[in-house]
Amino acid sequence: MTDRKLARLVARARRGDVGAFGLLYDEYADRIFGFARARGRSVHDAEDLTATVFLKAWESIAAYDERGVPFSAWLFRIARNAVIDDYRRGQRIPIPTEDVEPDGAADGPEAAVVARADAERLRRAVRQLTADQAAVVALRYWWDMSLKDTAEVLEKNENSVKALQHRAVRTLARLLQEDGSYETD
Amino acid sequence: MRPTDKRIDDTVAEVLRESFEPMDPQAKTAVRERVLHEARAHRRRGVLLTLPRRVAAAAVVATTLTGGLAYATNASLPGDALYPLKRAAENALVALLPSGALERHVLVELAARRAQEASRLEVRGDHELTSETLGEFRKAYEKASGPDGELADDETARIRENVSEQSGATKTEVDEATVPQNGSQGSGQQQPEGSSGPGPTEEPAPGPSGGSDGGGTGGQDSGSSGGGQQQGPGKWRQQSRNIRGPSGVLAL
Repeated sequence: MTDRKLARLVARARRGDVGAFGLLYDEYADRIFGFARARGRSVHDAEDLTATVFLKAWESIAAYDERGVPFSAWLFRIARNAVIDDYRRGQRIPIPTEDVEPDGAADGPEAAVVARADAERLRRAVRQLTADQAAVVALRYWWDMSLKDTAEVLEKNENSVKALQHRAVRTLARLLQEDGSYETD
Repeated sequence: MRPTDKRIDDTVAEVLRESFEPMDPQAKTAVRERVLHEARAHRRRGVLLTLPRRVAAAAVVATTLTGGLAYATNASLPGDALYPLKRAAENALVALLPSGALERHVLVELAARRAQEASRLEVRGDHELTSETLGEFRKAYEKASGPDGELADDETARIRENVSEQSGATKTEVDEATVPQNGSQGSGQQQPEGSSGPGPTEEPAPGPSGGSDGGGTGGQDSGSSGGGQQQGPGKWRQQSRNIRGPSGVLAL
C-alpha cells in the first residue's frame, strides 16, 4: 500500500469509516499475528491477540496523529503492549533462552546457519528469542520497517537496534544448531 | 564487510523474511468480521466524536438553534471529550449572529451555561475545573453584560437559575456578579447598537479584544477562542485522554 493510500485510509478511519478500517486490518493483520506468534503465542491466542489489537486501535485511532510516528509503528506499540498485558494476566509463554554470546563467533558461520534454516524451524527458534530481539526481527524482517522507525518505536538508538539485530541472528544460529539439525561449516 | 558476509547477510534477511507467518486466510476473515462488527457497535456511541470538527460543530449549532438533539454535547462539562465541541459550536453561533437582541440573548445563555457547568463541577467535587470554569463564567458574564455591566432582572435570573445551593464558590461568584446595581434596573435591556457590541475592552483573560464592530468582534471571538481550543494544550485536552472510546474531538 502506498503511503498516500494509507494516509487516506487512516483519515477515513478516524472519521468513523469502518470500511476504511477494514482495509487497514487487511494490510496489517498478518503482521500483528506474526509478531504475536514470534512472542510465543499459540495460533489461537495470536488470532485473539490480533483481534484485541485492532479493537484497541479502533478505540484510539482518533488520537493517532499522522505527524507523529508512522501508522505501523503506532500499531506495533499497541501490539507489544497487548502482548505484555497478556503476559501479566498469566498466559503461559515459553521462557526465552538467555541472551548468551557464542564464544568469539564471527557473523559469518552463524549467518550461514540461519540462511540454511527452513521457515518453520526458524520460527520456532525466533519464539525463543528475548522480547527485544523478537521485536527487532519482526519489525526489520517482517514489517519491513526502516532502521530509523524501528529505533523510534522501540525507543532505542539505531546502533542498539543494529546490535540487537546481529545478536538475534547469532542466537538464532545457536538455537538452530542446538536443534541438532545443522552443523556449522 | 567481506563480500561473502554481505551475501550471507542478504540471504539471512531473505530467509528471515520468508519465515514470516501469516494468518490462516479463514481465520483472518473471521477475525476481521469480529473486529468490524464490534467497531460498528462501538462507533454508534460516539459518532459525534469522530466527525470532522467543523462538520460536527455545525451540526451542534444547528440543533442548538432548533433546541433539540445534541443533548449529550450540550450537557457536557469541562473535562468531557465533547466539551471542546460544545464551546466551538457556541463560538460559531456567536460569530453568526448580528449584534442585537438575539446575540444578547445568546450571550446571556452562555453565561448561564458557564455558571451551570461550574455549579455541577463543584457539586461533583472537581475544584480545579470549577475554578477554571468560573473564570470562563466571568468572561462570559462580561460579554453578556456589555460595557455598562448590567443585565435585566430576567437575564440575571436566567444566569442564577441552574446554580445549585450546594455549590459554594460558584454560588458566591454568581451572586456577586449578578447583584443588581443600586437604583438601576433594566438598563441592560438597551439594545446595543453597532458600536457597543459584545466584549468590553478590559477583558482580563486572553480573549478577543472588544472591537467596535459587533460582527467583526464576533468573528474574532470565535476565531481566537476556537483556535485556542484547537491548538492550545489546555486542560480539556489532557483530561480527555482518559476517556475511553474514540476521543476524536481533540485530535482532529
